[in-house]
Amino acid sequence: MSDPNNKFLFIAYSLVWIVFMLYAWSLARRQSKLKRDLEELKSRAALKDAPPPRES
Amino acid sequence: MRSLEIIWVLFLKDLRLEWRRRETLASICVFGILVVFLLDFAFQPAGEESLRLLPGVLWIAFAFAGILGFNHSFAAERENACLEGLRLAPIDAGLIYLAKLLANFLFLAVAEAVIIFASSLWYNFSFLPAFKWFVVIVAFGTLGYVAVGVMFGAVASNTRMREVMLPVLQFPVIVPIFIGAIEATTSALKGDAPGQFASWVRLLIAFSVIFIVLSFLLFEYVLEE
Amino acid sequence: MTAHAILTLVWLLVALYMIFIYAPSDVNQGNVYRIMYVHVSSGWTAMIAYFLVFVGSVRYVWKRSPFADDVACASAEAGFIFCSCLLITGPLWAKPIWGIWWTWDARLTLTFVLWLLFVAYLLVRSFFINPNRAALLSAVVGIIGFVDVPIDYMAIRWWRTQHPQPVIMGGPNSGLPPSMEATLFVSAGAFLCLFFYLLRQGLRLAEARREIGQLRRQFSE
Repeated sequence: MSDPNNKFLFIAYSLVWIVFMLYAWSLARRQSKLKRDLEELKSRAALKDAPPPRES
Repeated sequence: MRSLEIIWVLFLKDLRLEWRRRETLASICVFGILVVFLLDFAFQPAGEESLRLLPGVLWIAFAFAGILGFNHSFAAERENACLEGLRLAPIDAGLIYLAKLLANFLFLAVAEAVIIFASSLWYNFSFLPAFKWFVVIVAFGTLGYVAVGVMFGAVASNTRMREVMLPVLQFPVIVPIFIGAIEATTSALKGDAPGQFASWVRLLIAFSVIFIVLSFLLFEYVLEE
Repeated sequence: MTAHAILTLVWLLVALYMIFIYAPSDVNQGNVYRIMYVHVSSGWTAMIAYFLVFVGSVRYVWKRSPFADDVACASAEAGFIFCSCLLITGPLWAKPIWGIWWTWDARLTLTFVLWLLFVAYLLVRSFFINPNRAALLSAVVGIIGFVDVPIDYMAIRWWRTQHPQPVIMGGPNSGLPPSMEATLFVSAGAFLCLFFYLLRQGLRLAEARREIGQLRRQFSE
């Protein structure tokens, strides 16, 4: 199977694979950033609503 | 009819603005002629070749002139917050679109006349034999192009990179209009019987109608804040 | 989501097996024809994606439903990826078989236009910070673009049948042997499954973004 065209087959599937991996990575990265932002906002909201320290 | 009056008033406004500064019309004429000249210089067509090249040359020149014109048209509005003023006026947004369509069509038509005249001289080509059909083709091709250009010009003017945005947005949508216009122009200038290019002309008309109606309906969303 | 992920993975693996082991070599094209499976699957998926962009855009303009906008946006992103794969695998298949990377025949021209429509949608979206503006203007672009597709199809087909074709194309779908046909359908299904998985991920992102926007607004009050 030393068909010289096989390299095109290989490159095609490799590129498709790479493209999808890059997109999946982009989605994951955005997902984690949003998660971090959400956590940060939630903790700030908790702080804001926290009762003021009692003075006595 | 009130709507027609509104369109006419807005149309005159654009004309008056242009008459005072004369920027848009001058620049698109010059730019169009420049394109024709450069292509003539690059290809130096001899006799028969002119016929093969001219339709493409003309429509390239029209395309670029158009982009310049559409960008200018909305840039002027943005400068003095005119667009906000228009939006607040109790008129149908679609009418604003139609007025802009008419104004831009007129400007581009004038530029095209200049471009056609210049190319007739430089390429030693006479448009007179097929003149009637040539004008019809150019008219409807331009109408469809301006319909899309004004719509996307409005969309693009909202963004930061508006000069780049407009051609990028337009490109896929105007493909059929330019294919049709160039094919029909080639056929008409070659001296073909109208039957040969009638379907292209029908495409140009259909395209113009569809996109004018669509843009008319969607324009209020583009102006919305 | 995990169930969907597993389903997608398994389906893709099955497709992979069928593409490389089950499906026979082509008499004329040898092994390189196997690009077809991923090429055609990408193509069908990209078109479905664009249809979803259109549906989402219309619904958003009409009802201002945030979900509709999310669907349009996520479909546009995923669709752009699949359309890019289509444009990448096409020339890689064309070069060994036709000897040229590209030609302006009807189908290729249309595909390029479709790709540009995805780009236009995403570009308009990216230029607005206000999410409502971004949604509305990209929806307008999505609608105009979709209306354009059938017109493009007609114009380009007329255009290309007027000029002699530079290359003779024997369409691969002119009667596929059953094993190849089965492989193609399994591959297309796998890609669609993947598309919907990516779509749902995109929807999750959009929802999270909106939640954050709401929280931020609550804060500044």
